[in-house]
Amino acid sequence: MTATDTAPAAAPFRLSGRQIVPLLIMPILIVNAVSFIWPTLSLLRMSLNEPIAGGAIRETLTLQTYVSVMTDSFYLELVWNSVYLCSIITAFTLLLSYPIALFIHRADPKWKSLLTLMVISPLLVSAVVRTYGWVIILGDQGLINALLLGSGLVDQPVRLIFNNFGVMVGLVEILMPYMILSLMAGFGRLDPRLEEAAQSLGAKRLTTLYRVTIPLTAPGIALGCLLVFVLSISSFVTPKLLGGGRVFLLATEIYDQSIVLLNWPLAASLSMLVLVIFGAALVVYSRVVKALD
Amino acid sequence: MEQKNSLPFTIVVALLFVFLLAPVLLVFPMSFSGDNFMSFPPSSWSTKWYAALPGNTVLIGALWTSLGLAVVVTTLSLLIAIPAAYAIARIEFFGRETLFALFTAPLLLPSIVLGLAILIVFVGIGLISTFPGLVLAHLVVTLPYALRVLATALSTLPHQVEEAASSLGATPLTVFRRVTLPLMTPGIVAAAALAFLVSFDEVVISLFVVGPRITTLPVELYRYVDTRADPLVAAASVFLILGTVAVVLIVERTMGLNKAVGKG
Amino acid sequence: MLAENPIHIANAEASDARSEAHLQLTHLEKRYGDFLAVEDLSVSVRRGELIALLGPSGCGKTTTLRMIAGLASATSGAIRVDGREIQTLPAHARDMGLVFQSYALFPHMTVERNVAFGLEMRRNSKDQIAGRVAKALELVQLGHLAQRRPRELSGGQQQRVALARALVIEPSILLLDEPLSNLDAKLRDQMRVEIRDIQQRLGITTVFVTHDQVEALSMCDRIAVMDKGRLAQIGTPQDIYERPATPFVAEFVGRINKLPGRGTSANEITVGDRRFGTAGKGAANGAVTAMIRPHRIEIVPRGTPADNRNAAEGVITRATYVGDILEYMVALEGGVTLAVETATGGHRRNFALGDEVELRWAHEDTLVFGADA
Repeated sequence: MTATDTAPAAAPFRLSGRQIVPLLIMPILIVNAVSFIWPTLSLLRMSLNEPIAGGAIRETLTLQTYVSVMTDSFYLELVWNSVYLCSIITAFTLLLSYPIALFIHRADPKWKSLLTLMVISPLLVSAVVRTYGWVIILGDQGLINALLLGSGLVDQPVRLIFNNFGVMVGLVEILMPYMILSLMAGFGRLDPRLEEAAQSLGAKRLTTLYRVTIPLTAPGIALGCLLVFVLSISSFVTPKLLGGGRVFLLATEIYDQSIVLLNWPLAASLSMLVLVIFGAALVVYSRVVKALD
Repeated sequence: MEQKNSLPFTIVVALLFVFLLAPVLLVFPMSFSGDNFMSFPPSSWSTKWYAALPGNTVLIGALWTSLGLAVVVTTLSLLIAIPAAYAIARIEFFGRETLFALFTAPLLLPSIVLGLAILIVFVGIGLISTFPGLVLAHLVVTLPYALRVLATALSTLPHQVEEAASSLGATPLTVFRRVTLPLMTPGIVAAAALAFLVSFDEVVISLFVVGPRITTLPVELYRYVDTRADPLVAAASVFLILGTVAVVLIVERTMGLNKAVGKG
Repeated sequence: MLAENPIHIANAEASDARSEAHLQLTHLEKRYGDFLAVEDLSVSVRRGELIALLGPSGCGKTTTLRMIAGLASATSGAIRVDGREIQTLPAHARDMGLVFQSYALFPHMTVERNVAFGLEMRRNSKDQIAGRVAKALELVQLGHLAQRRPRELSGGQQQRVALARALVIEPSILLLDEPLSNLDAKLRDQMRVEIRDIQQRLGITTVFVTHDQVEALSMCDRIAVMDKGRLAQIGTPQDIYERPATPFVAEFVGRINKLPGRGTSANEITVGDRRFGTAGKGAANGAVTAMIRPHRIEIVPRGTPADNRNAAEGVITRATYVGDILEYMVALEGGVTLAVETATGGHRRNFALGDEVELRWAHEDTLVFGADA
């Protein structure tokens, strides 16, 4: 074992503890190796293989799939579409989450825990169920269209799902709890007296919001945005079900390539691309956080 | 809180809460639809979709698989994560932080990427479409949660209580059994509930591992919604939601009870 | 008369080992990386003795206690009980009763289960356990709270449970780690008496770690003062207080005045142009520091007939009434100011600000150390 202490014979209790460490972590290490390390390395290796028509794979070392992703206009558009859509989703999630987080932060303690529970509870419900709920609301014969038709505003159902709009609405709602919780964590820094001070100095409520509240809560905003962006790029169930096969995003394409078209090398290189986008988001985040300090 | 929430602001936030909770809440009225297709509000009400649930052998079979899977995964998660959490939170050893980062790293990967990676390896060793394959795949995501919760629970335990036990003559194993383990019960309950819910709700990774021989409830619900649009899923969802509420209540009760018993 | 230093202790060991040394620490050392927490510590504790390990935080006293208990491993040196080396034994095999500063009661067990724990580990029979637990709780007057949980008890009650839990196993040695520091002042005084009383009744060898010199002086048979991991002095409370071996000990066990001066002979020093007789173990010639405890100085009006004590004239620059004592600051000619404490009440004469007075103190109350003090 990696005993760093050079203490001689006289360390019975502690030393015996250290000696059993390999025994204690062996099970988790095995699971981690079999189901995480090995698969992740295999994925990287797979992305360097060459796909052959019909789902066969030739073992080799080539950057061919990467090159085709970088040069094929379909994939370039796919990447651009994913990043663009997820950025918009992130922005809307922030916009709709900020008031809730601020409200909870200012609420009476007795309300606070109930409201927080209401924010967390959707997280415990399966994404499939929540997406299904959006089909109920946005479908051709759903709640919104029933209201629109009933009020006579339209005479044909409006297409609200199986397009970018549906995917956006569904993902914004599904990711809101993460954003709200990140914002609330960041609001710890917000002292209500500072807002009061600004108002006593003559600032209007909105000015206070822009000049005092938002800057002070910026770290929470940055964290929430990173989290929501990363989660939206990697989400699969909601874009698949609410996109109805008409919205093409990186995650859905990875699934189609690996399960439907059996082009694993391509699916693997798209996965690597997702990780690169993750890395880029993380870099932007750390820059922003540094700039805020 | 000095700054009060004004009335217009309260109304805006109330509407946002409606937006946040509507999809989950609408599942309930939808499940009592009398229509044969998805239409909201339904033209008539009935309980026929609840009556149809037991007859759907695919969903029922998948439900039993998912329950069994969640129980096995939760048990294994605890058995594997408790010793690891003990090592990481209680024993000083070289590479401790690195290992903790490694063990929680699977949470950083998108499920879709992890699912594909697992597919590639499991195909080669015959684990696709098997129960052990699903167990292993689920453990990758439940173990980090369990490890984190348990390590936090352990590190907040006062070390001196354990030292007191050993000075009273308890061997290290007895100290763990009689003192450490009972004191970390709230953490164990929380870790178990989390592992159970994560396993029971897991879709994306499962999609890569299921096959003709075995399938899980979330996967079947996903496929159902993907191919058909009728209120049967609403009825199934109601049970899922109620099941989740039950788990949360059990945790709340146990933790509440434990707070009354322990924690000086 | 000479303060004992580690070398003297080492000499004493030889005879102690034969007769009555119960717990013996020999050249004990604890090193954390480059930091020496305990350095060359040799202490011999007699059977039935209550000994204090006294020192400021970080002096190594708690580390020493943890090494005795087996909760920390010694880097080198030996720990012996009745002559048998125990430093390789794990904590659970050492048979020590340990009371923590935080009490460390088991929160998930009742008072009774807490106290029974050690007996269960020793596989006593159920009846035997019940009887001994009841007796131990009686000893600390907690019989009526046996079914309570620790969090339902006051700090003082928790402290007694911890004591009962440590004593019920009839350990060969009782170890107390700052057991009183979490109690309020009044309760502390009461527990001080109680612990000493129980210790004497049971005749149990006890090591008591504390940073509070009052606790150490009032409760213990002997005191080992520790400074930066080393033993500074070991001796009876009187030894430590009246004849401190080092300036550190002198300052740590109570308030003391410091006067810079020069040694002129074994029992005389000069401060400015004044001569003072000293306790007698003066450091020959050269720069010295004289130390005098404030309450050993008497204030008399000028012109009081001289006696065989040291005398110095001064002016009162501050007088503070603190209830049981009066604290004066008296400026001597030549810039030195001395603190003086006198008891209040009775027929004592009180002095006022600006009074011209004379200070008197005995030769043996003038402690002399090298100038680096």
